[in-house]
Amino acid sequence: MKTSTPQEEAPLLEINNLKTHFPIRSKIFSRVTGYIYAVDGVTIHINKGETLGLVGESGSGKSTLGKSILRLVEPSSGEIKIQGTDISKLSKSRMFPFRRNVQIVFQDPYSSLNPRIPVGKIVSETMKVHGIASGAEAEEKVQKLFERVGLRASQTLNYANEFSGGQRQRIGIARALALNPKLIIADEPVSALDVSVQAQIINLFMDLQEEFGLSYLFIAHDLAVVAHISHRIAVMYLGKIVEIADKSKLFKNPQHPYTQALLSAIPTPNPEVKARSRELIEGDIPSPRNPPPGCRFHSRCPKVLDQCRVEVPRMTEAQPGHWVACHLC
Amino acid sequence: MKTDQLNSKSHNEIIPGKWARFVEGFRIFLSERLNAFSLGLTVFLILVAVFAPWIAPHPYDQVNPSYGMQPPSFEHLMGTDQAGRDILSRVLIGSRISLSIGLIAVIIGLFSGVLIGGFSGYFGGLIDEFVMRIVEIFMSVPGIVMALALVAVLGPSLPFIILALSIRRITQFARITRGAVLSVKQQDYVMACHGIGMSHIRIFFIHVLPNCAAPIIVLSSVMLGNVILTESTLSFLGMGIQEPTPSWGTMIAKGNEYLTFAPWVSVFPGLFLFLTMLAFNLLGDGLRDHLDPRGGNIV
Repeated sequence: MKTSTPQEEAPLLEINNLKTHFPIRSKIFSRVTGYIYAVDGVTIHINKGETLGLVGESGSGKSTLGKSILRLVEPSSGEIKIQGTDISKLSKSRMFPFRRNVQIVFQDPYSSLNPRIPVGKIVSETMKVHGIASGAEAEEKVQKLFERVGLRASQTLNYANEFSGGQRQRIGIARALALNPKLIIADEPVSALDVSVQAQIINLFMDLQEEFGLSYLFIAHDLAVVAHISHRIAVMYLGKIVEIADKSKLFKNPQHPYTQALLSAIPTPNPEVKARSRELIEGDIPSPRNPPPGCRFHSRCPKVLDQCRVEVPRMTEAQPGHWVACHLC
Repeated sequence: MKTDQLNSKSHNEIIPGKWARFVEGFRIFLSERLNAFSLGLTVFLILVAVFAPWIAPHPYDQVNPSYGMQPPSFEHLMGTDQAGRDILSRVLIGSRISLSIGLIAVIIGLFSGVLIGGFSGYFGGLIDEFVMRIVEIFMSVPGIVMALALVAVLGPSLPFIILALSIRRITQFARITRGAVLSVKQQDYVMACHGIGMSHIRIFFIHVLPNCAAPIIVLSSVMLGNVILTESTLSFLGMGIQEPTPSWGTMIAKGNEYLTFAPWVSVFPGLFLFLTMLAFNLLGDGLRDHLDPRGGNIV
């Protein structure tokens, strides 16, 4: 799937029909009794220097998608192409050189750093494993990285428990940057932080993007956060992408009823302004173990048609660069 | 950027090394009076065991039938047994035997158990199922019954006694370590290691195992007391350390016959056994409270 501007070179990351299904095993004989369809046929791409925001409510499979790209969770089928090479079936050792290109920043800053190793060493170990630098050279590089992400060089000797949440997230970013990656998967990197710190971390992400030409897959459940940093936004629901478009197009003209509901749920900061007509959707996201047939959203969709209950909607290009999977559009 | 730097604790300025952190943690540990007591008692018992041959007033195996069953006196502080041997000397030498059997059995159990349980939990899958079923089979047999059976088959010599005592420790350490590894390997920092592409060996030994240390340390301390008790039980039942080598269990068993008119023969080795158990169990309890992550202390 290509969006607006045709690319001359292969995109940095291209995911084709990626599926990650977790088997559910019965207790006694470990027989597979079903699957959790966490990611169920996702096709996206990310270009160099671009940020793709990925939004969806909890349980939509966005974190699993992020982890599947790095194969921290094994995908069941589909392709993950990094600069044209499919890494989805490579062995651990053949995969190793590609790991340098894609790194991850985790959601929970409290569990993402080993509490028993000084934080500087966590970052320098990464360099050592990949043979980028070692010894005094690595130490110097780590100190520079620390200063770049807004920490002091002397703090490399401290342990993780001596830092605040925002600082830990900066260390997590430094660890990801240590390998000079082209793509960083940011798995809800600011959800666990205070609002004031959130803004700082998002600005840091944006500054780093400009400086190093990074691409991001920026996962969040909050459209307002994603809106600030993303170039394009993909909306995920129950393992599938329902709409993907440039940020401005998505905000001005959301096509999918789910996107419309998400947008209307963003609070307006000005109390004088009357709230936009709310399109509330009811109920919870259905279980990914047993997704509804047809369009996955039909059980909660305010505009549901008979067709939606039977037929799975295909991704169509509603406008140039604006793809949506809905029978209504 | 300013705000979250201000949020951090003030002692960020001082950079504590590993050693300084250890000393600080140790100081907090000792500030609890019960911990200070149990550690002091443990150290005392270990020192006694190490220097036993020099402290002991008489050779432990010097038989003197005409001085049998003497009550405690200045000459024999804990009295003498039926063969006229000095009980104090035998208790002191016996502590060497007990403590070294305890230490060796716990060390064997610790190393094998941690490796077996650790790898089993880390790799999971069929290997894990297989290993844990075997461990459960071993655990279903009461420890003392298994030790008795093994010693009965192999013979009551020191290496076999240690072997019999350590097999159960292996299963206990394996279970504890597996449980800890299962929770640690889910942590994001281990995920990050996989994302970086580190080898399994590196992830296991550098990132997973050190974070499982707390329950293993606690178990070691409790097990040490436990092994000594089991060894004494074996000896009491006549399947442990054989005469004339002194063992607390054997001494208690022998003295049992004369308990009504010469209680000192059994009571003093029993007292030492009791103190040893008390010291190691209290130490284990103290360590458990101290190392509980909710308390915020560091090993």
